[in-house]
Amino acid sequence: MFKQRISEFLAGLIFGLGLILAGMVNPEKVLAFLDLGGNWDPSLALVVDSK
Amino acid sequence: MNIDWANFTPWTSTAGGLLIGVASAMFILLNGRVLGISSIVGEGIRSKKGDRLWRVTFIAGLLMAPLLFSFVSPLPPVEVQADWKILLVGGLAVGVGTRYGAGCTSGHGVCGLSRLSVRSLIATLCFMSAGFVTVFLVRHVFN
Repeated sequence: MFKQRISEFLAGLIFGLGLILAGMVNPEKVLAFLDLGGNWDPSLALVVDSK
Repeated sequence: MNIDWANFTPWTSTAGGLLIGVASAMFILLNGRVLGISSIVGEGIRSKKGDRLWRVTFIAGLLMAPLLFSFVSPLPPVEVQADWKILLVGGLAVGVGTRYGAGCTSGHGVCGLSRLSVRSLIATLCFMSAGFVTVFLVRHVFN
């Protein structure tokens, strides 16, 4: 039971660190990835790719 | 197409993706659940008592991430150009859409694709293309 709580907490923590490191916490970065017609920032393709 | 090399962050984005993958794998192996943020939060609102604590501990971990990150390195900027009305409509659309679609980028895009779910592939293709089209329309057609 306690072990479950720890692993849930850690999963949340690692997931959150991943989001920050990948740059996905910044809406402007997400929009830059979706903006194929403008100044395209392909970074987030690597997030999906590396999982 | 013009690639924005100045803001391109291949290494950190790859590392972030790996962490997201590790967290998702860990969650499905140790807790036997799909790590889908919209479902964890959305289904938590009307969940029964025994089905609530794991959601709270997960979200607590998620919310602690910026704090832990800030000890090691400065947090990246969070830039929002839209005003609160747009955010309100956008947030509502995301909420309704993820409930109808039974998942979001984490549940379908990360976990679903990894376990080769056809349903998740269709969902991911739908919301990614809707994202590309919406940004194109807003930034280059109606702007």
